[in-house]
Amino acid sequence: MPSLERYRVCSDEEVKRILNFLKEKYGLPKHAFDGYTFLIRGRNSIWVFSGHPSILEMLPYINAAGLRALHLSVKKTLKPTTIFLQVFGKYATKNVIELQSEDEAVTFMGGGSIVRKYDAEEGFVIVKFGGDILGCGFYSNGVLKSKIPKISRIRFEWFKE
Amino acid sequence: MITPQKILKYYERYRDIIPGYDEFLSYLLKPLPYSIRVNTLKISPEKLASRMEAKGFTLRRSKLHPWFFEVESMEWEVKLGATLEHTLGYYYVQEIVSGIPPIVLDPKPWELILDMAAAPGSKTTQIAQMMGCKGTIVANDISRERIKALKSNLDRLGVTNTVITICDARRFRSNILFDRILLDAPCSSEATIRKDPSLQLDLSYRSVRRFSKLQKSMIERAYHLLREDGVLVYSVCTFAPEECEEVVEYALKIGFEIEEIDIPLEHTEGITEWMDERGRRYTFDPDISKAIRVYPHFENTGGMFIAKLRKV
Repeated sequence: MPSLERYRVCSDEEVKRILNFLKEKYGLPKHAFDGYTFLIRGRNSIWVFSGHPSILEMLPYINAAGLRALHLSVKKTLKPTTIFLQVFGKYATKNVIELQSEDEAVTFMGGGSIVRKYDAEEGFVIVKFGGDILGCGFYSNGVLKSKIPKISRIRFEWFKE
Repeated sequence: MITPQKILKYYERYRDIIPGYDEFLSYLLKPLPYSIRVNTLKISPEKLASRMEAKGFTLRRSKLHPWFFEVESMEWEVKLGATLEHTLGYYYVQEIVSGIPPIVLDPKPWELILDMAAAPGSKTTQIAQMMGCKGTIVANDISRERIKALKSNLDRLGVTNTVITICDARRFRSNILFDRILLDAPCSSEATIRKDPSLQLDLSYRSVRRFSKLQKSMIERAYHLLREDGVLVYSVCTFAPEECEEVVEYALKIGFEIEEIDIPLEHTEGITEWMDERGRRYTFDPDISKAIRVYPHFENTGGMFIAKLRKV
């Protein structure tokens, strides 16, 4: 069995930086993460876990712990994952893009792009439709690109009558 | 393709222990109705039901638990796994009987739970819901391929309190003891034939005996991983007493006690006497009647055997 990359609990300084980023970029309040532990795996992957962190020291063969939350991209910017936003995005107040029609939602969930000017900063944004948090998008120059992972994409034929 | 004749022949050994046997057989040949469990980590049952009904699904709340709905009809030929609500993790397509073991396990927030054979995660995610993602679940499975499905389901439902481990459960090691363990054991899966009509039925019942041996070694490992007074729920989706009562009898011998189970679905008691197809007679500990058997013809479901055990 290949060895699995180990998790390590983030230091207080790292947690502070993560919480500051989430607060500044998305307006996510720090208290939304009370009771959660941030973990780091490898060099660029941050996970959020609500179980007891000491369990990680007590078990062999760990494959995953909690949800993958943020990923440090090659350009050294933090990208939130869709699964993370689907849980915590409801608390966001900034850089949230609300889609305007079901067609747009289907396009976005299918991995497509939407051309429209939004009131959001360039970079990774939280995309909503109705009351649903759909996931992560990338907004730049009036184009919203879907960052929905392939495994979660929906296909157009599902919506044909 | 499995023929109805083969089905009749295969299940014949259970004629004397299954009440309403002919009706039982007729239900085995009917497809299983679809059912879902609402993911209350993300949406309320009422809200999800009204969204699904607006899309043309007719749902009926299951007697088992307010999170479960039977899907009575679908207006359009779309799979239940192909809706926006499914993609967003608002529900899990789960057999009604598969919802029973977590309810019997009755996990509480802040406890430490082990799901020994967890993939693909219907029961793990249900346990996480019952705990409100507080406390810790260790979800183990032996298969790397099945772990992928488990991870994807945990991600989709937004479960944050689970650690996934890959290990043969018979050799699972831990430096800490668990409050509760679910052993939804690998089995001959005889009771899933309505869901999976391509199920391989082995008329020599060799796999039944092979699984029985495996289940006993898994239950023995569970004993060592459980804290004193901790609860183990043992479940299998088969009717074979070798994999049901015989395994529980083994559990009683190694130090478990069995407890009563109360669920709002019709069921029978665990059997205490049986003769197999070779004429071999079995007598089990009378306490094993506290285990339960759920049959397809009782409530138009799949089948399941469940025992609640306590380490004393």
